[in-house]
Amino acid sequence: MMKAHTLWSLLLLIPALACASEDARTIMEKVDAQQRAVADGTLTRSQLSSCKFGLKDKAVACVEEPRVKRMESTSRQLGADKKDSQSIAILLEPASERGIGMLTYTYADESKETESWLYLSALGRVKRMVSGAAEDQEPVSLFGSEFSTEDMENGKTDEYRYQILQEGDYDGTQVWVIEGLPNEARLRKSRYSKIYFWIDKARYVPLKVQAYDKRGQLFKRILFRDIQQLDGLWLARDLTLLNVQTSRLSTMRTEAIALHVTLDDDFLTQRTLTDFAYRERELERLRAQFQ
Amino acid sequence: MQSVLSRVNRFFELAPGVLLPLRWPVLLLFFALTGVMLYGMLSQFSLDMSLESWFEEGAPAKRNLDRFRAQFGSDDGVYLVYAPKDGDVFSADSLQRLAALHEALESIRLGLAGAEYQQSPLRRIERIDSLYNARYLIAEGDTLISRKLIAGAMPQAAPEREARRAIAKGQETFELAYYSRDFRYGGIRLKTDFGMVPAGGVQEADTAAAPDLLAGDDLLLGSDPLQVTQGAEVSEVQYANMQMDEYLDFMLALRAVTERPEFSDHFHFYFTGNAPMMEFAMHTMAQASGLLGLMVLIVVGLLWLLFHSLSAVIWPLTLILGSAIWAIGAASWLGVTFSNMVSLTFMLILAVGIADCVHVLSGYNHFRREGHDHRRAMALAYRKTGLPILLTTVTTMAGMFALTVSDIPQIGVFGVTSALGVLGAFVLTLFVLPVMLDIWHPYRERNREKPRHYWLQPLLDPIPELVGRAPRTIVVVYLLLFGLLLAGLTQIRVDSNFVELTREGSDMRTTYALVDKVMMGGQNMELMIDLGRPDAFKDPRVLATLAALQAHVEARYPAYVAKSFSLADYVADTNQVMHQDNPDYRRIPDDARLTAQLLYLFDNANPEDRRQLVSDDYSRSHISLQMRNAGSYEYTRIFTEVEAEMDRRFAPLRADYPEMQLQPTGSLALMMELLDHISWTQVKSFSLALLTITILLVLSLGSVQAGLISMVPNLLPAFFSFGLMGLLGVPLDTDTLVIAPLIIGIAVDDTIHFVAHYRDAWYEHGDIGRALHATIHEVGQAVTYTSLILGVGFTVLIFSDYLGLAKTGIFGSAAIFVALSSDLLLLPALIEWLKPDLGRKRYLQRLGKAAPAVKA
Repeated sequence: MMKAHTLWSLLLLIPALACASEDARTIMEKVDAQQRAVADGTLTRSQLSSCKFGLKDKAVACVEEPRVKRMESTSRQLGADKKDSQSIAILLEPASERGIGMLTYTYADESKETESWLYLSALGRVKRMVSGAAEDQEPVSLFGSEFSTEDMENGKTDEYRYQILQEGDYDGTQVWVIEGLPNEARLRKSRYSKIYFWIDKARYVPLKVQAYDKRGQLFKRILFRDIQQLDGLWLARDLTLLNVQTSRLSTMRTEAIALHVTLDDDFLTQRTLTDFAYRERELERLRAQFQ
Repeated sequence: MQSVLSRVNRFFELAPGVLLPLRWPVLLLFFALTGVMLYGMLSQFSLDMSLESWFEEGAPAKRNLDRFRAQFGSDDGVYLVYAPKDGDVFSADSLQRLAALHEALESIRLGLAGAEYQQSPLRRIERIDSLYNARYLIAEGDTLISRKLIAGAMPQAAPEREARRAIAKGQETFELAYYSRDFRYGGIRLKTDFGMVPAGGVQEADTAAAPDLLAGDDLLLGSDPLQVTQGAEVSEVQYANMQMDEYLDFMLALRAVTERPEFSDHFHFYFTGNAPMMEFAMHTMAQASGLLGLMVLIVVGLLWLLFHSLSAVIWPLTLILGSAIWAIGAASWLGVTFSNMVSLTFMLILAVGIADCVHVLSGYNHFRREGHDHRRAMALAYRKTGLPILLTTVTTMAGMFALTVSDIPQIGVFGVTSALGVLGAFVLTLFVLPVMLDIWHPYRERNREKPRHYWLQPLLDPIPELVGRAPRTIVVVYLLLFGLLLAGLTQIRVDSNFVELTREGSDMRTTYALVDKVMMGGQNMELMIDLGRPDAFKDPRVLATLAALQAHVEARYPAYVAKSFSLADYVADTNQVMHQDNPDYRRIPDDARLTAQLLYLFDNANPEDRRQLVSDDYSRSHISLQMRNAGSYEYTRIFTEVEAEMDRRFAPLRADYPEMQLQPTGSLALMMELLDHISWTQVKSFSLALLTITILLVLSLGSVQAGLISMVPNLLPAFFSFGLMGLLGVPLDTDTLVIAPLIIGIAVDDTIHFVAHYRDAWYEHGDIGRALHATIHEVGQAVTYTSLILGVGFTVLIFSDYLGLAKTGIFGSAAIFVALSSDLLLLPALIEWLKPDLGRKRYLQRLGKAAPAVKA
């Protein structure tokens, strides 16, 4: 059910040499492939905030106290193409949800069911969650925010047809504007009819993504800010998603991040969900590597 | 006053002659103006047939529904019940065909079904839910399994299918929604965007139509968008009202799919929801316009039968059509938006126009038979009928204007347009009909020797004598009837039950009876709860209150409430699943932390689904009650009781949630509110119309006595219709209430003609018997003609599939004949008995003559 792990991979983008002759698919595949390589061994502490927004002097602002969730998560990529993944997310806030943990294994092989385990701290018990194979999956919300698992997926470039719509200067940066049209299989499970990407030519970072609903109307706009280079990789530490149809926004801020950490073999297993001492000990070790 | 009336009579005598020298310019002007109005009608006419158009902007009931929809999405979809021929929704054949149907609808919805489906109304489907894709949640030890019942893997063998059946049986929310208890019926819910499409057309996506994708954004992010900013404006989306033809188009497209042999060979389908209801309403309206055409044909036939002249058919019809075009055209030019009540406007204009013309034509023939030449006969006919026609025009217009006190915009529009039409009919009768008659008139010399309608006069002639012999007996008989009808009136119930207004055995009735019996009912009510504080719906006390209220409502109204659902059900179900499926845990936990964590899973569902049940900040939620069909009377009672119960149960929480707001809402509640409102509005405007008409009658007839006496036969038809309905136990529905003023209008017309004639004759002769004889002889025929034409015309409506209209046909036509009988019998009897002076003394004094003694 949870695909939180894929979230972080989108933040991490490997720079590549911009080549004028590159076609849309090559660009998107390059971005995606590098994302997967980067997501291999990452610890992140992040904050997800959501609120209803209004406009004042054309600027977006919350009109109500935002609802805040904070969490720590770890992920690694596996398999031949590094297309399988394992991840774990532990909630820190709000207090009522503190300690809830979610462990997820996903597989590139569509016939293989996603495996996940949920730990509710109020119950003190791990539940294995079986929710069907890819065909049976639907995009779900990321911790109740406007971000959905679909916004955060990677390794799915085969499911889209890409074309460059425009290129040039966008807000002071040279970009490609690329349209992604889902194939039939993707369209059936997606909430979007098409996605536009504004890709920074120099850094291979999306600066903006727009998703359109089934009626072709603008649905969500994601803006990527605070783009930093860590370990030679470019990543956006501040994502803002505007759901223009419901006037709700969510921000995802990376408070702390450690790339390319070495994870204990047991860490991405059920033990981390229940063994508090083990989990804290391992996390302490990893936190020391925050950049 | 009397001299004014004499002058008015003189005016009407002269009026037709004035325009005769200008007959061609007058005709030309008439056709030119009609052309302009027709153009206005064709180019500017706009029709709003949405339920919402019946509400004023900002009406509380509509605002509540808008708030509900803005928060929880459209509650307006289609619920499709299917009955497999093999009697089992879990048979291999049934499951495979259900999957195929899902696929067919899903492909169209997603635009994958080919070019011809790109514009299909079925693309408005947002979700399809049935046994095929219903997601279940079960616990096997510490494993939670959540899968789509069939879509994940089609069960091939019988044991596999039985296993799925067992799973379905264990899911509380599946039963009655997706399958009947005996598995002979299945249900498919189609969630649509009905009522959720932003108004003002589809907004242009900022990347559409050759956009510059590199241009700056319209929404800027400040340094910290999370900073709560006072005065930031939230764009509130306005949704376009659903029009009836949108429902019709949707149903046509849906039926085209379900009627494909691969589905219809195995399934029988039943459709419920607003869309099929509106489809039926549209069908009824189309049929009604056919019936209206038939009514016009009957009018044509009767006009021909009674006058034996083509001119007596063509001229009245031209005038009536002209008045209708003028009224609707003028209103269209003024930018008025019409509702489906526009057909009633046409009916009223038809009724009033026929009466006007028949009185003139009948008077004209009468005077020709008495030996006057064409122009003199016309002058005399207008002298006799002009004033009563003016009076009937004024009273009917007043009655129609009384409708504008209604705060229902559509009824106001109906009132004003109809008043305009009635005025148009008057103007045309006065100024254009003479010109037309001068060109071509119905009287033939040979008719003089052998009038063909000799059958009527011998029937009318004995009436004065009969009345003269036993006036009190007649009055007493009518009084007794009055008394009986009054008793009936006390029994009358205002109750609109849409389904029961369709004929026995109709698709609509069969469907709703079935859905009520075997599935979860075809109606729905929403209890909207706004606690005004974030996370309120994570509070176990709040969830427990929801659960208790649901349990109470289900136990208290088992006949009406088939099922209820709220966030509390979700929490209780999850609690059970999380506790190894132990049924003891199917309840709200007392621990707030555990409740919050059970909701964590729900929180992570897709936001669109979550928002259908609870607002993002968990401050607002709702209970959905699935209701079986009933009438507005019962629904209104239940709604009132449930609202009170809701207030009572939430009262203890008010200290913690002082901003709490509790409201029943939903399309059904809106409809009930509307029906209730229409009933009261109609009763109010009906009373106002009666009062206005009485005052006008008193003023125009120049005597309080005359005014009051003529009100008696005016009231009787309404008393008769409503009293009879009460006695027969036929509920008074909103349609009948809306048409009531129309019937009164027709009844009033005849009485005014009668009393005005009588007064003239009475002033002239001072002899009641003679005056009555003259009146019945002269007006009786015209009054009988109009009553026959309209009474028979109205009976055509009996053939309507919609009983609301059929009832109006039966009781309306009965009312017209009762009005005729009271004009011919009761009114003369009252006059014979009470011997009213009607201001004759004053009249004679003014003329300087002594009033002779009254001769009975």
